[in-house]
Amino acid sequence: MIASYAVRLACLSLTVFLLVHTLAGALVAAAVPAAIRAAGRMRPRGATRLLLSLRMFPAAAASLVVGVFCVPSYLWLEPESGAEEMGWLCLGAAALAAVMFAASLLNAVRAFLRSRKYTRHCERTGAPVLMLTGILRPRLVVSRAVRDALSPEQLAAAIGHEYAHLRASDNFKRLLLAATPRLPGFRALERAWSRTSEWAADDEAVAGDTERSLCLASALVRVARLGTVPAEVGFLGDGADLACRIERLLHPRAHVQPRRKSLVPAAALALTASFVVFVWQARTLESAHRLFEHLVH
Amino acid sequence: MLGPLEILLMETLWRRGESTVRDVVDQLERPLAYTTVMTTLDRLYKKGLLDRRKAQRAFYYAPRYSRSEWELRRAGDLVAGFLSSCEPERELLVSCLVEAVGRYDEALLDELERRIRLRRRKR
Repeated sequence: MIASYAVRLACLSLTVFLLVHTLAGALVAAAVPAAIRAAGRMRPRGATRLLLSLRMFPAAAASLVVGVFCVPSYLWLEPESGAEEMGWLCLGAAALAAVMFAASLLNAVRAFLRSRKYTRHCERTGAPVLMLTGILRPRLVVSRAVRDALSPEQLAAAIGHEYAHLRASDNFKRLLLAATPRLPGFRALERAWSRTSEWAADDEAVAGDTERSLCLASALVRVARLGTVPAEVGFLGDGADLACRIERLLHPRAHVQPRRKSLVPAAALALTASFVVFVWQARTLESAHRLFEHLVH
Repeated sequence: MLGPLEILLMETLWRRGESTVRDVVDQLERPLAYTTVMTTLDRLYKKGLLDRRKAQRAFYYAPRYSRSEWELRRAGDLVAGFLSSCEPERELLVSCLVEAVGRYDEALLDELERRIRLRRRKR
């Protein structure tokens, strides 16, 4: 198919994104079980960072390759000599990538609208919830039933938990998760992130205070009990997750690992600097351009 | 969800307490057939909203939950219905203190509460 300069760039970028994303996604999917085990041994906040970074890595790596290799090499080295022939394989991959982007975007919009509807629904029906909702203007929703069920100390601990989610911008991270393409194995990573972010918020809400830990544990059970219906009426919540949170709150010290000085930021900085130096070599861009030419044709 | 007649009968029983079908019929402002009331009370019993006992060849019906308890359950049901039609809370862009409120095994919650009390006493 004959395609113009701009269409070729768009198709090439999408194809490269798809290739890198699939490759990096396969690596991440293979590392998921080990990552979840490692996260279980870390402090919750560090574990959430690890799990989220791993989840976002394929999309970030693909964007990086497109942004620093693909687009610059094409713009500098591809002559603007009008239309050129494009291979069907490249076109097919570009179409697949476009569908993947559209599905992710749709998923994010759907999650956003559902969340808004869910919040309104809870407010209208007076459902027993205590939650942080919204991304740009987050707000705390505490139903009357929850306010009545909790003592002031329990309510303070529960609100502290939600403020920890607010400080960590967890709702925005949920949007990021919804908006980036999913590959097999990513669901397990997201569930692990979700569970660990609850642990992190619990830890930050109680701040090592035993009394506050007990208050938060009691608040969790009381809120979980509200509006109880017979098991056959609806699905059951994941009791193991709740029991695990209570256990952590009752025995906080058993879960605290000694903090070790992390070399990750320094290593990441050094890697990024080397990568940038490598990329901005004329020879590297020429090689990249030759490779991308093969992809296009 | 309850229909208008079911709500009317629940209101009557909340106001009056334990009653027979005849008592309920006599309490209603608009005339309703005895059999209609009997069938509706039986349906409410099967829905788990009423308790029933037999005495002197008549059934006595009493609300299983207070009005406020029932309203709370109804709100929980509405949310459960909303969630079953879409995704669980973790798929939404909200952070809930407890996921799936009201959908936990009662025995588990009792056990967790017992552990918290035990821990509090040990301090």
